[in-house]
Amino acid sequence: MKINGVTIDNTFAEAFPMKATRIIVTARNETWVEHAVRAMTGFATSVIACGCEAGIERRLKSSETPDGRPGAAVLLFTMSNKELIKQVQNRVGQCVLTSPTSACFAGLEQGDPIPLGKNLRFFGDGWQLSKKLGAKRYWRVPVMDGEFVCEENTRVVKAIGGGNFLILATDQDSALAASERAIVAMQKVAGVIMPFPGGVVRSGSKVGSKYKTLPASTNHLFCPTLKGAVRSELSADVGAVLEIVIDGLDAESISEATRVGVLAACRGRKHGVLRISAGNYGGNLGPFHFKLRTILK
Amino acid sequence: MSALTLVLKDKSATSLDLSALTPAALSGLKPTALRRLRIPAGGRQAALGDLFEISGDDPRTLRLHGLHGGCHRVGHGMREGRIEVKGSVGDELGREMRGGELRVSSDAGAGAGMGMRGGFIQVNGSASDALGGLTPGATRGMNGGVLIVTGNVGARCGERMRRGLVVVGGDAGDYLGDRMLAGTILVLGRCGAHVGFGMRRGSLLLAQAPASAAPNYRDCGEFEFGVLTLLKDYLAGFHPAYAKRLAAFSRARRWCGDMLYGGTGEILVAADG
Repeated sequence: MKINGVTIDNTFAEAFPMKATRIIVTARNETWVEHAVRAMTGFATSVIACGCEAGIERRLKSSETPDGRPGAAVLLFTMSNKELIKQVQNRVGQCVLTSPTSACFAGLEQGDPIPLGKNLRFFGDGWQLSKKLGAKRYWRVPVMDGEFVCEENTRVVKAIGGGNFLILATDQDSALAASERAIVAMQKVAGVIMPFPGGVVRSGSKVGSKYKTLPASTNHLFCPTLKGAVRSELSADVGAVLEIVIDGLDAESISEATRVGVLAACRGRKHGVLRISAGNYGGNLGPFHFKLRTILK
Repeated sequence: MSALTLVLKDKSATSLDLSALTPAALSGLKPTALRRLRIPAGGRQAALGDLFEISGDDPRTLRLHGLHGGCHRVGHGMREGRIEVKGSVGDELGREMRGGELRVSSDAGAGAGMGMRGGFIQVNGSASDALGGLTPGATRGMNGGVLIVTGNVGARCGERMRRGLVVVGGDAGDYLGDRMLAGTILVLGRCGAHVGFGMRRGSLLLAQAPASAAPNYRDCGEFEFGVLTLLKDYLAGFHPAYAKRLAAFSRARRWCGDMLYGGTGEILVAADG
């Protein structure tokens, strides 16, 4: 299978179940929304060492947020409910509560409730106020610029982490340009985040290492500088490989993000992209398999 | 199927206890049983068929027409469905109501929404004292739901209120939010003396500043309150016109109190009020 001259490998991305929540952060203007959500989603590229994977799903207009101010939807993914509770509390508490003019709301209506403002309210030291409107409870925590308004709970749903595809190009510049095109297209898909810096990862990993303490190490089969030393997956003309990792609320969203991402990566003339592949572990690690050729058919 | 409609025949009939007439209580009753249903009527029991002209067969929507101030306890303990009253009602409208919708086209007597725990009541007229107050012997008043009165209300509105939203389109009498525990009361007109007396928590939103400052409240200054945008959206689901009036609270002066009871209650007065 070829798209605009790019070979699509007959392989699949292997993904695994995660727990996720969507949180809506608002502020007085877009600048302070950006400060809050960038802080909140910082150091959240991989559950391997960050505790969670998080990213900005999309920016929200004033008309789309609960309090009529500019906002952003953030998705957080973890391997367990317990870890998600911890990550939400720490990240909202340290990055959103602290950000001037911010407010925080649940972004999902379905799923099991976990605390959002329920515990953070104690920062109010007894001066916090509750306002229950219908089925939703909000906390008003007095802070130095007014009040921090935060919904009591957010919702957790089953989700999928680790969707991915690899862009194999002639050189770094071509791989980077294709990745950037892909990310711009994928950011328009609802329900997904690409948690790595700029949405792109250059240090694709395999499970395990020759060093016993490491759970993961470099995916040497896709490292171009090792082509002559190992049983490489790369042909002689491949000079750089970049990976895009996708976490999503459901399989459909990940498939759609993969589809638009690959098509964008392959777009244009003299793009330098040679192959699109995907990372998997032989089907033994995760129950979700995103077959490239099926998705792109 | 059409809405079950009861039209009061004898306008002079007073002291009618209509607590038995709720959508849930009437569902499944055959026409004969419905007509024979006994209603307390001024120290005696009268058959429903003798008091009302009955038509329609769907009690999920119950229409009560021709009522007056002598018709009490309409919607008592109501849990579901809808009651539409054409006319006025007497005391204890929607007492201990838990769900459903109750609309009255004119005035209501004392104790409307007393002990209410859920649902929606709208009185398109005025209501007397103790709106959203306590049932006899209770320690807490209204504990949920939404209660809107487009006209004026009497004294002790929201007495010992614990949860829910009360909106008064007109003026409120003395002791508004008396010893209130929590919840929200919005008054779009004026209010009487002793506002928020003994209030522990909760919010009183006043479009106009009270004539006399509440003695145990402290001025905290004028601010924007994000939570009022949430309240506006919530209220828009029940009364869009009143929700728009909340725009007057884009900035509000906050008074916290009652300082004798912890000071975690608040009176928010619209900045231009």
